[in-house]
Amino acid sequence: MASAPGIDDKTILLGGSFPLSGALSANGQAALGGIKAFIDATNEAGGVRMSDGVIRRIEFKYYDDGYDPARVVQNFRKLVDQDQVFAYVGAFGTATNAAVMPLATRQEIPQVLLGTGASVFSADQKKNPWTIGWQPTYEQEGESFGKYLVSLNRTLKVGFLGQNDDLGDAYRNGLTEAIKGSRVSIVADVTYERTDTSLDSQISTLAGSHADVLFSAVAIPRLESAVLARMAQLGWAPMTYLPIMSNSATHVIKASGAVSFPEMFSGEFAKVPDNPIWAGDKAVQSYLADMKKYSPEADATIANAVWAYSAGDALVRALEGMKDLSRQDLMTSIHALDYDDAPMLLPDLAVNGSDSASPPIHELQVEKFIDNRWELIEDSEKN
Amino acid sequence: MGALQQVVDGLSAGSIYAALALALVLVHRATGVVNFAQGEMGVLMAYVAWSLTSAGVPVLVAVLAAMALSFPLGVATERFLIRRFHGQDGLVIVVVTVGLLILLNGIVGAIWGYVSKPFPSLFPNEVIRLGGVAVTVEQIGNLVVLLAVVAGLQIIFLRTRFGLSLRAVADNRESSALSGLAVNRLLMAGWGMAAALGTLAACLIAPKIFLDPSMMNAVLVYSLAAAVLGGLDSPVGAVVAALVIGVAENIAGAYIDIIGTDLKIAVPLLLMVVVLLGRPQGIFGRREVVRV
Repeated sequence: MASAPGIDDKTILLGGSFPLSGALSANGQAALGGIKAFIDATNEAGGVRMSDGVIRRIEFKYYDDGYDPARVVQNFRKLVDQDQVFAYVGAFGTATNAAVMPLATRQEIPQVLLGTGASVFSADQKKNPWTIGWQPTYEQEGESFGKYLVSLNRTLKVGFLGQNDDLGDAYRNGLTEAIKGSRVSIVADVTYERTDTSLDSQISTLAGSHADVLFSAVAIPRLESAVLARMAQLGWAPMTYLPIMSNSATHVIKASGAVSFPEMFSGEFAKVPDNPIWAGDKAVQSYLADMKKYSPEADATIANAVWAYSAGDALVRALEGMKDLSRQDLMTSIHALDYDDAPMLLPDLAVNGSDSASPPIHELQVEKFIDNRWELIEDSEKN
Repeated sequence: MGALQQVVDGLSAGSIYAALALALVLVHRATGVVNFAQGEMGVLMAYVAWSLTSAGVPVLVAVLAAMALSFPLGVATERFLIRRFHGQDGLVIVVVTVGLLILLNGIVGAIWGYVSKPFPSLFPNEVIRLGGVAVTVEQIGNLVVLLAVVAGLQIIFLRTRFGLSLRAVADNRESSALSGLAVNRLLMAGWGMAAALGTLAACLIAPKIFLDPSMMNAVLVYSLAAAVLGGLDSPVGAVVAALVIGVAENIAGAYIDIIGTDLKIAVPLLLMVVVLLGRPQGIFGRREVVRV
């Protein structure tokens, strides 16, 4: 059978690019470690049995991009032209993947299961048929908390704080969409720049709006910490939403050093390995064991590792589901993914690749910070 | 209440910018160079202070120790790096200091990692409420430390022989040497003092914005604006300009709709353009006169 580059009788060669140096290196290292751990575990268990009956090992090639779009483009070219990878998988970051997408489209190379919450990679799959994301988008995250607020069935005034770019817009759009026509409304809308050293002024403005809810879509954990510290200083304690990127109990909430906290909410689609509520969970235990064994250099508690690990599982399932070993077939197989037993995914969530305007995981659950840990809201309400 | 709170927040942000602006002014005043790596040198030593506090050293002692260690770092930077480019085009030195900034950033990241770390404050974590306006002890403390540093610098520069020599060297290196001043030692001393001050700035800022290899990059933009606005040779000017920038930025962001938080960052730059059009030497700067 004639097969695409990167596939022979023994191996499937795949590639990716990650920021392994620079400011985002801890996250890049985690994302790489997560997908590598799942792949290595799969190889050790034998490999991937494909539709032609051959069992193949996955070889994963990667380069450091330092989160520089120019370097990502070079890495992508190198992977495709020199290394001749079959597909570009699990690559980390929004700006970096955005730089690769036009090339992937033009050269017809699968750019799949990406480590980014930007909707652009999954929203228009007619225009970019070779690209698809993985995790829920920032819009979907904003929407899920918006729906929760509406479900409270109260008149609520929301103050919005977001980054002055596409990321902030995505959260705002999702939230606005969800609360349209309800008793929930946005009364103050304030932005910050990635380079801001202090958000005190923004928090003073928001506090002055007397909002009942603060949607604090601050994507930089240390700035989110500073927001919590400032709120405590001002004595302002509305219901507060922390985005998935800045909801770490340790690095954001505890690190803020604040003496008091508001009622805090966040969103989640995967199990957080160091959250005590999952201490006895089998999936978490085998995840941690795989990370320790295959990717000891990565920090397994960083969420990017968890997301990439579950993307590794989706990759293996997609490879197994392929019919004719072509690149086109990989895309078809990813779009056919439909299962609810993904490792590390929250119990009520599923993977479904069939929606042509949405990434395979497109739902989140709202959680609430209770007794120093995040608890899924359904569970805590039952108590 | 809202407007007053914005002013207080602005003064607090301004005192952050002022701390680094002072170090910039010090180096410029002593050696005529704008050191773009000033903030990053401070970050490196703030990490040293953080390591000391993690080892159980009290924060005040750790900061003072880091400042003391910064002095030889600044001296060495001048002696072994900057001096090699003496006499070359000013732009060359700018490029050298920018290169140093990038190098130090990488070194800090390689040693301590890129995950930001909480840094203990020199001041108690307490809030004073004055008629609805929240002021933290830290904000007051930072401002007091700053004013003390400015006063100290003014005394050194204007009232001591050492300060006079420093000014002379910055003004005209060759004439100073011919007049018998130990030019090389004075240059090193200027850089050493600036490095200690940069470290103090980083340690004052870190509790607020968390220790991070790139934490001073954004501050540097504001501090440069403040230093240029106030006059690159005036410590008082730099501090006043930094406070003005902090307050103006917040007030404009909060109350001028067309600016809003989106364009807040443009305010200091706009101020800079307006002032420099009228007074190229800055508000407090002395006009440079060259004899022909």
